[in-house]
Amino acid sequence: MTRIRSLSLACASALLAAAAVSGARPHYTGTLRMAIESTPRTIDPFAAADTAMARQIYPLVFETLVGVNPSGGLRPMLATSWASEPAGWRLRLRRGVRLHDGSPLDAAAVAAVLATHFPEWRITTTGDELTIAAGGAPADVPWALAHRGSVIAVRQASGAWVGTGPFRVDRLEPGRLTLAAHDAHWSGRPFVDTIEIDLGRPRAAQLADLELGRLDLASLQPADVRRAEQRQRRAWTSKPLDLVALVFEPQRAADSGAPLRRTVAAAFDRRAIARVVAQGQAEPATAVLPVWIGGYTLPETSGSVLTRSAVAALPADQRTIVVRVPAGDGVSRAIADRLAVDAQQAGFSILVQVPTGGLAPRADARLVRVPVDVTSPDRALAGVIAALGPRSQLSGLSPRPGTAVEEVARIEAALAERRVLVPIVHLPEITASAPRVEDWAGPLILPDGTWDLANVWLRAAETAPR
Amino acid sequence: MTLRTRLALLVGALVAVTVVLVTMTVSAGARQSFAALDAGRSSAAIAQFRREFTSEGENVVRHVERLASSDAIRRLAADVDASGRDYAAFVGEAGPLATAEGLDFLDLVAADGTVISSAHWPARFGYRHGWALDAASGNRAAFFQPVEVPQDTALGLVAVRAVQARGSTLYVAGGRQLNRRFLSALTLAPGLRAWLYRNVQPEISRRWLVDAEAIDDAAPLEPLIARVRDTGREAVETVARDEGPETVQAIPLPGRDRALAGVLLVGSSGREQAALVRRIRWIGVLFGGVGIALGFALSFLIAARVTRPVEQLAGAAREIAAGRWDVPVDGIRASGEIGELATAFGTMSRQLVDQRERLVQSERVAAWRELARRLAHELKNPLFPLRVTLDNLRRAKPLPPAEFDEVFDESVDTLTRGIGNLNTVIGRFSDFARMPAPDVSAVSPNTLVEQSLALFRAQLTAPGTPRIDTTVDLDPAAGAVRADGEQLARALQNLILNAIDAMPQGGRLSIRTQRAGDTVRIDVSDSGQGLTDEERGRLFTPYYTTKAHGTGLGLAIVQSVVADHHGKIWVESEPGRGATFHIELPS
Repeated sequence: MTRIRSLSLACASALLAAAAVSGARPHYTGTLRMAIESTPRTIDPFAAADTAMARQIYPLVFETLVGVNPSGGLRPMLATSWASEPAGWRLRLRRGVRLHDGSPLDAAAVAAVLATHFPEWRITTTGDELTIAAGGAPADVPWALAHRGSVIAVRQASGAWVGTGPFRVDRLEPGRLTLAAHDAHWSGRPFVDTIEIDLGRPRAAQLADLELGRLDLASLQPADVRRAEQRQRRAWTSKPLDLVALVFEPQRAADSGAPLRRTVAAAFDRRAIARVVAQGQAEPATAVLPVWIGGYTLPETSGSVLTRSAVAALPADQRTIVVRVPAGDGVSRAIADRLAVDAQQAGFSILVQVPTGGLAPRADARLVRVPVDVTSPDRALAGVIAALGPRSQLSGLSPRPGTAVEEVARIEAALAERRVLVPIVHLPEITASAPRVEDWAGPLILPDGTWDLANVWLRAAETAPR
Repeated sequence: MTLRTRLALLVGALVAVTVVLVTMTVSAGARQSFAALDAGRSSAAIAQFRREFTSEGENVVRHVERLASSDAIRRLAADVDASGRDYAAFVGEAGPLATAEGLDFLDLVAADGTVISSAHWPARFGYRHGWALDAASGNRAAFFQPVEVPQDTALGLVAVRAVQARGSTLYVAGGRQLNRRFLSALTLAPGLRAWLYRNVQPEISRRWLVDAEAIDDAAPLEPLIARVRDTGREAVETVARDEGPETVQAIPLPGRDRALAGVLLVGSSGREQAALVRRIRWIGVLFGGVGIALGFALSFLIAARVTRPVEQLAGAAREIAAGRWDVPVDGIRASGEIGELATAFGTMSRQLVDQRERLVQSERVAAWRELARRLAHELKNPLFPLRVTLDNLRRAKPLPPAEFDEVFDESVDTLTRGIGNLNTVIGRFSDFARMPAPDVSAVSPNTLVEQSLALFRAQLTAPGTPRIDTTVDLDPAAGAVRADGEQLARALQNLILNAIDAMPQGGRLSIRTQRAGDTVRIDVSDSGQGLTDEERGRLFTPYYTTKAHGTGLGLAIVQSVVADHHGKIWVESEPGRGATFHIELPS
């Protein structure tokens, strides 16, 4: 570990030297200003949270023993190594890890946390090592530990949760969450002192705030990337993470309606949506899981579809599909509008319905945007199916933990055959940064959508009004 | 119905008819004037629409040309040309440009007809544009065009311009929507309204009217729209509405290549006309009612003024008819013919009174003369035997006592009878003169008839006398009458005696009583020679008789008795067929 830190310091010194040569030198100070759309009332890593909190904020505060490597496989986090042994999985904890309250993180504390997450596991500790006997699915243990729900967080007597992440929760006020740098983080202290996060700020407003210098980081819609770049803002894009799909409601999900649903699904021009609506930021989706997670693709059209004359012969109510889109999601609305155009060309009529709180006709389908967990394909698919809820009537197809990827692909093929769930595109997480924001360790946003804010530093000359 | 009522109704009816005719005339005139005004208003509105379409079309052309010649579009065209048919980066370009130029529709179309960007339907990128390329090569003026928008088809006034960039062409198709906002921006005269029909489907439906949700009474317009679609010409139709007829003019809106893109419908509501007609009608009814009431009142007053002297004259005539000949008519105020009539009536009544008085006097003189004649006649006849008897006595004085005694006794008998006759004659006259007031009590007419007839029973059945058959028909329901039984019996006896005298050769005497309502009638009939008209006219005149030895007072007494009992007596007779005397007495 000492060697790694020395190596890191050497690299940092080299980069700092390079930056000094170029007139921009990393330094430890400043407040990074950003915003998210959600308005959390508490910081609880185990409570239900929206995508922004779970994907972007909590990883700054809480860490897992094992991380997911975007290139495939797992990577060390709080555990530096793990190995399967006859007695179970043996993990070695990273040394020198301290919780935000300054207390050291030892194996006993980790075992106590894991026992709450996985009560069926039998965990033993030896020094800085843990041995986990998982029973039914031992191969899934590292992936289970890499899941964001398996963060190592300790609840204090005050009720607040403390973790080991590069930032600690300083205060949570109405409309503002403030994170402070964790000086004793195992990978080194973050450059910025604090992160001020405006809560409940829509994405469109975030871009305007970014252009006006009120924010340093802003989440973008795909269509805003071009505009941000034209205004000298850097855009950072994750791998495709969110599944945008059409889910037929139970009254239109009968097996007898499969040909009609397949015809509708075949009418959609996913490439045009990914290329134009998402401005090339999205990937056409033929399967629930993005290719980089699942590792497989499915044909866009599977099974027989109706001819145009057969569609024209259908009763008007069957040719008309009311699609409900989530309110306030401009991307989903734009995609739905395009679906309506494509469907019109195929002889269908899609009526886009945005919930307004009033009475509205019963929707035939809903356009959903579901975050895909960056984990093993089986867990990712199960997570999506769980997120769609029982109304999708897909729960029976959910893979069990540890299911092989080939079986996951087969399940997806079965899903595609029924076309109750029609994948459209996969959207990435996009973040734009102000010119004063620098990240000397690589992209600001990681492939799994999390922010690498520990390595962000702010140009000293850049000041912005609040 | 009185003359006054008839006159009042007549005048009132004339007033009512006049008012109704005036109201109908005014109403018809107003309706015609309104129809002409409506036609003018509709024509003005259509002319206004045409001007507005022209102006809007020029605006559209100006904006599209300005846009097509702008640096932004030229740069965009160059970028599109350089993009290698990857138009994704330009999908959002049309929106801001349309907003800047105030266009509702704006499509940026590539040379191959692909929609690069659409302001009004951003999701339609990548599909072929239906009309931009064709329109760019034709007329450069704006034209009507159905434009597809999300989940609908709008009617627009559009223009297309081509922008050359290097070797490629970018088409700019922009326009403005003809929608409810456009219609409401036009100031229409009250009572006018306008619709726009979008000719986008083969079938005609009111849902293709602009702002169809707000049109709940457009169903009657569909035949009119169909007519315009079929003929391509203007059409007019009157549509029945609850609030009154509405005249709708339909104007075809030709699109590109003269194809019908839409129909402008301008409706002129008959609501105001109907309201005015109703108002006139109600005013007519109100004034008519007042006029009729006043007319009736006035006519009543006029009729009263006109007919009062007539009624007074009629009353005077009735008085005269009742016997009051001295009724005054000097108080009747009238002028003109009625005045002359009143004056003549007064003169006539005075002359009648004078003539009656003269007649009474002459009749009184005649009666006295008749009385004197009768009295002289009645007294002279008995006196002649008395004077002869006294002459016989005087001549018999020298005769021997035996003869003289015989003559004397005979003369005394003769004198006694003669004096008796004189007494009888004088008694009758005395009875007639001294007719006492009736002593009224309830008496039975049937009983009186039977008692009176009984007095003559012996005379009728005496041997050697002519045979007279008697028939008595008494009504058991005759009841009683309030009468003086003695006087009434004497009257009956006079009638019976009169009937017997009328049948010297015998015959049939019939007496009948009969109740008729509140009266009792006693009829005494004979089968004698009957009476002439002159005899019937003078039958009840005192001292008039057709008999050789009658005093002429019998029937006069009967009439006097009947009159004193407030009854009536009359006779029916024809010569040779007997006579019937009728007495009618109140019960």
